[in-house]
Amino acid sequence: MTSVPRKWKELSESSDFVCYEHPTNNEPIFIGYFHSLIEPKVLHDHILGPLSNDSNLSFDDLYRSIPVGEKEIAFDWDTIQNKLLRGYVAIQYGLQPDQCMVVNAVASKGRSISAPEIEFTVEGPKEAFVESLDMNLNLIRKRVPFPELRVKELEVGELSKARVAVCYIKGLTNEQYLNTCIQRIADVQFDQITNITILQQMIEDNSNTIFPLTIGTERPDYAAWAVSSGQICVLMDGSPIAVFAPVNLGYFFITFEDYYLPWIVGSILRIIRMSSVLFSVFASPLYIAVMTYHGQGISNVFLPTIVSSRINVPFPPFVEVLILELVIELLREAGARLPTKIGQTIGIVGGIVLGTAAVEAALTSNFLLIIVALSALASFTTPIFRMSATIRLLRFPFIFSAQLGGLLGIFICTIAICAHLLRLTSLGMPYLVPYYPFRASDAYDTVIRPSYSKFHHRLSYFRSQRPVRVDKKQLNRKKDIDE
Amino acid sequence: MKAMEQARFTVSPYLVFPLVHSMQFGSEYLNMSIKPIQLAGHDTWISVILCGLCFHVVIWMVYRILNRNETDLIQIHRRFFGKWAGGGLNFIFIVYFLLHASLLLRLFIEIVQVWLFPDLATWLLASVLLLLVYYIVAGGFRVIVGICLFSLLRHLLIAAMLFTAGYFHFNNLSPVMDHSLNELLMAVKELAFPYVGVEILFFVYTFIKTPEKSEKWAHLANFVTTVSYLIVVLFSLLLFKFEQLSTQIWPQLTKYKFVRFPFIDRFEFVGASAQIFFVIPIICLCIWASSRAVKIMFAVKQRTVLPIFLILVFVAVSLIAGRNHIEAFQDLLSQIGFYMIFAYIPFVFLVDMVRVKAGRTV
Amino acid sequence: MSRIFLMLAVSCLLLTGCANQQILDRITLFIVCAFDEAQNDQIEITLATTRFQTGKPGSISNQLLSKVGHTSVGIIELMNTRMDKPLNAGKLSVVLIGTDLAAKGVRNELDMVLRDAQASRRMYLAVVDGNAKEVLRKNFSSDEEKGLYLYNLLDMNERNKLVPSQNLHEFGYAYLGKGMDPYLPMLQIKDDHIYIAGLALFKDDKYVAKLNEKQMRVMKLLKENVKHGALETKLNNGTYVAVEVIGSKVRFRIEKDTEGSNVSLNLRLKARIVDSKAVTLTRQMIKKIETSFEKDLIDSGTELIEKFQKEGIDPLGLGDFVRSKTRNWNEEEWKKEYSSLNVKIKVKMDIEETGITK
Repeated sequence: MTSVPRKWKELSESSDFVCYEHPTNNEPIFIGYFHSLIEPKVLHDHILGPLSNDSNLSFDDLYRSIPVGEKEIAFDWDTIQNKLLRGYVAIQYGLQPDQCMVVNAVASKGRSISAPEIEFTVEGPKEAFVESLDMNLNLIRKRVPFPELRVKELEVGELSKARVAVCYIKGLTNEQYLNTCIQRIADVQFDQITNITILQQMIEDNSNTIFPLTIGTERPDYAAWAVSSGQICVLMDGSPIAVFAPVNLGYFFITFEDYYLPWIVGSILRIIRMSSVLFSVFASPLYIAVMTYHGQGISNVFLPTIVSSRINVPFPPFVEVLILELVIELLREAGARLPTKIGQTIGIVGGIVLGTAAVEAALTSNFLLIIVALSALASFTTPIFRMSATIRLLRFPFIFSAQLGGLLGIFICTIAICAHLLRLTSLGMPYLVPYYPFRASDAYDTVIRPSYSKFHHRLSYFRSQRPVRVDKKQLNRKKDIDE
Repeated sequence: MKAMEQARFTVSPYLVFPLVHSMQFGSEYLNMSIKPIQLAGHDTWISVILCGLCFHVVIWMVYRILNRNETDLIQIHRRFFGKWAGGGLNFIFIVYFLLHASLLLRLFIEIVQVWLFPDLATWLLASVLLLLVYYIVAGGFRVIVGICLFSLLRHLLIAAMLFTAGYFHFNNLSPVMDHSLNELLMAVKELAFPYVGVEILFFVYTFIKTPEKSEKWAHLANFVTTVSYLIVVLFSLLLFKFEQLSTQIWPQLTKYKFVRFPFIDRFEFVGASAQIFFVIPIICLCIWASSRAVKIMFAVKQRTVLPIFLILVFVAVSLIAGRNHIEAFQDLLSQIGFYMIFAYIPFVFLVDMVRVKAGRTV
Repeated sequence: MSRIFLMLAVSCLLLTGCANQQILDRITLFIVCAFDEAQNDQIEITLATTRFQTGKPGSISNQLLSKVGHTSVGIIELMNTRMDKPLNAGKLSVVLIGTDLAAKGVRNELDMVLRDAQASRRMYLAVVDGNAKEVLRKNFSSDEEKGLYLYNLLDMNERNKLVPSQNLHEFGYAYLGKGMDPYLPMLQIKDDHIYIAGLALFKDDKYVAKLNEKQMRVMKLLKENVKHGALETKLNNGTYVAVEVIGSKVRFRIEKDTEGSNVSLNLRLKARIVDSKAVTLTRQMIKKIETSFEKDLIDSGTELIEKFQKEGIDPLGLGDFVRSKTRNWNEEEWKKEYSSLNVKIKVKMDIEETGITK
């Protein structure tokens, strides 16, 4: 092992780096690779095979005879090293050469494509992104077999050197958003980026907000839809999630399945989901406000029900709500950290036992128990995980302000949140678009998901270079009776 | 001549609608009918319409002045009256806006104190609300306009007044025109204050993309304000006997006592709390306009002026105690507002006309 | 930015100490309260406080609080010395007034409830024949809150039956308004039962006269449009027929002739026969029934108005109506005119259906 190139020696300090001299008659041939990264079959069949058949192959002949597409001739050590670390095999003639051949032999070990788990769908495709970037790109490109779909690859993290792919459609995606996005990824200053969610936080416009400003999805069909509507999709090797931006607040309450259902059904489900978000945020704060300050507003018929349920509860409504909300969060967190089956049991047992016991011990009223359980349930209808966490957290400032100022406190808090939302942008696009700035032409795909005959234009806030999706006249051609 | 802001700070012309409408429709509408009703009785609604028409004329004048000069009032003052006199006039406007913000804030706090929390300290709520105002104004003009747009949700509350329909007495309105024209015009003068707010156009003009196109939106805003006030006043007249109405300080809020849902018996706490949606946009716009005027006049950062102005408003609000003070303050401000709208704006309009004529002859 | 949120939070926390909390289960609510006259110009207030029971969605009110004093707020303040949870008037929905107090005037009591920002404007007022306190003493609703029972009693009768409706708002309207006088339902106690025995008529804020049940119904028909309620009449041959009103409209009209202006009340009734004592309903018979009703209503209506004119009160709001038709109406002149005003009543009855039998 003494005769390997000097720089290779440094690498061989790690025991999974293999390098040796291939016995030949002429110039020594050195072969080096990380055996943890490569597929031995490729090495044996395609590289060592030709070499052992004819050990006198020249550099160029060998390069030509290796039946692997991804191979190149590198001239500087940095490139060689990078390639080695990506599962290439390096072949070098002589000790101090000016050229070195690198051949891709990367082992594609990894999970195969499986059904989506977070964004489960009944009618949609049962494919989800996996950890391999190439496979993920394959999933997207299969759905957009369009020559203008461009993938720009970047590298992030000094240590992680993660491959990041930015997908967009040239001539459709707005250049300004694209440049912002690429610039932000290029500007990331962090050494170890292990998952795209870390990158996500770094490229968002504002890091001091609980609202997510980009969407991560595990569904290739959703990602393909996003790319074709003019958004930019970012993928990272090792992350089974595609992130797309720019997005607005409304996007977080849309599941892609809305688009697979008939439009009336899809719209109703969407409305239910959006109102459940409002319920989830406002239900327990309103309970506190009414119970603490505005009791005289409750109607005579309703009053006995609500009061007698908490007549023996020793805490003020505020503490009562806080206890129950924390219990629910606890159950959710415990359920999330445990294996699926135990998690479910904990959820059910904990929920039922704790709930009943808490009411019987007069720690909470059963009326509130219903409200809190319902609002927890409602918060889970939000399809995007980061948003549903936000919704759950958002409740707490409202709970506090309801305790402090009743309904007025809730209103003050609403205005403050609203002002905050107005300040947010996603890749420079206002977060509350199309409500503010209001765009009537974009109002079609917000609260309701209309029939596809209304989808003739791309949403104008994406500033797409190709605003027309389909010809409106053809789409909306009306037939006469009996025609 | 053009002195427009950078494109990314400007707003579309249609946003002039929420802007002007929010600026007009403050919580002074709650007791707008007390005084005019003493003069015009059950014919007050005619005065409401007349007043709205007058304001359409004023908006027309404002746009003539602005379109000709293509800049905001601060520059117009300097151009017309020179640096010192113009600066003085700007200063008056700054003071006016600060007073307006203080009055609105105090009116709102009074409502909260009477209708919700009797033992709430004025300074406490004032400081919370002014912090909120700081957060909004520091976000810039677009955020303020966004809040204006968002606050249009309050019109749902006007719809809630339909619950009173069962108690309407339509003969309260007849005989129509039982009062002389003079009385009606006097009532118009008393009614003018809730309409005041169109002067904000002088300050936001440079922030509007293609401001010439925004005139129709300003008129629409005034029209919607007029219709809303008409509904408010008509409903008050239909629901209350004239003698009863004169004893009510906030007849508008009393109306919410009639709203009934299966589980909610009364609504007045919602109505009283929701007044915040009427107040916050106005305070934000006033503070923004006045601090911007200072920024242009003295070339200081708006961010440094803003806290100073908020503290001034805070001090002013804390000094006003009780119904009598508030009423006196409101009377004073409504006088100033009236003369500003119906004397000063026509005056500037005439000066502008004269200047144009003079320019032509030279 | 986060700094601002922190400051917001801190100043909000300060707010806690300043807003007065009224946690619903830590206050004593009362739905009904009774006002009576006491000696030396004082009033006596009786409250039936609401007690909620654990676990059962219901409430009872078996505890009575009674106190004499000068102002109602002062009395309630003093009552707190007997309570474990502070009294809160926010849910007050029924106010009972004793006859003696009503005769002296209810201006002060009215002022209290109209001034209170928390008070409902749809609360019901009623005059009790005798002592209002006695009503609350009676055990007329064993399993229900007394206030709720009374509220529902008045609510149901005024909305769906022939009791002229008059809640706090309308009472204030008629009391403050010119050319009209208020009235209230009159409650009576009989063997542990409470019932609406008639109508108490007020002159300004003072109780002056009483109408019986039958007059009350006629008054309701003359005062407002109704959709429910039953009427009966005696035919010439002595049998009684009852109809259910399915819609009535009343229009006031000014008719001018040589002697001056008259007011006419045009009442149009639509009804259906519900009980005809086995009278065969031929077309002539129905016609006869209709005329009988019309005559009855005209007679009792005229009688009613004569009574009003004699007392100098105007519960129908004729003055207000004339004001709305006259320019520069003057209240003083009207009052002089009123006692001699010629009021005509015209009734037109249509029997539309006769049930499922002929």
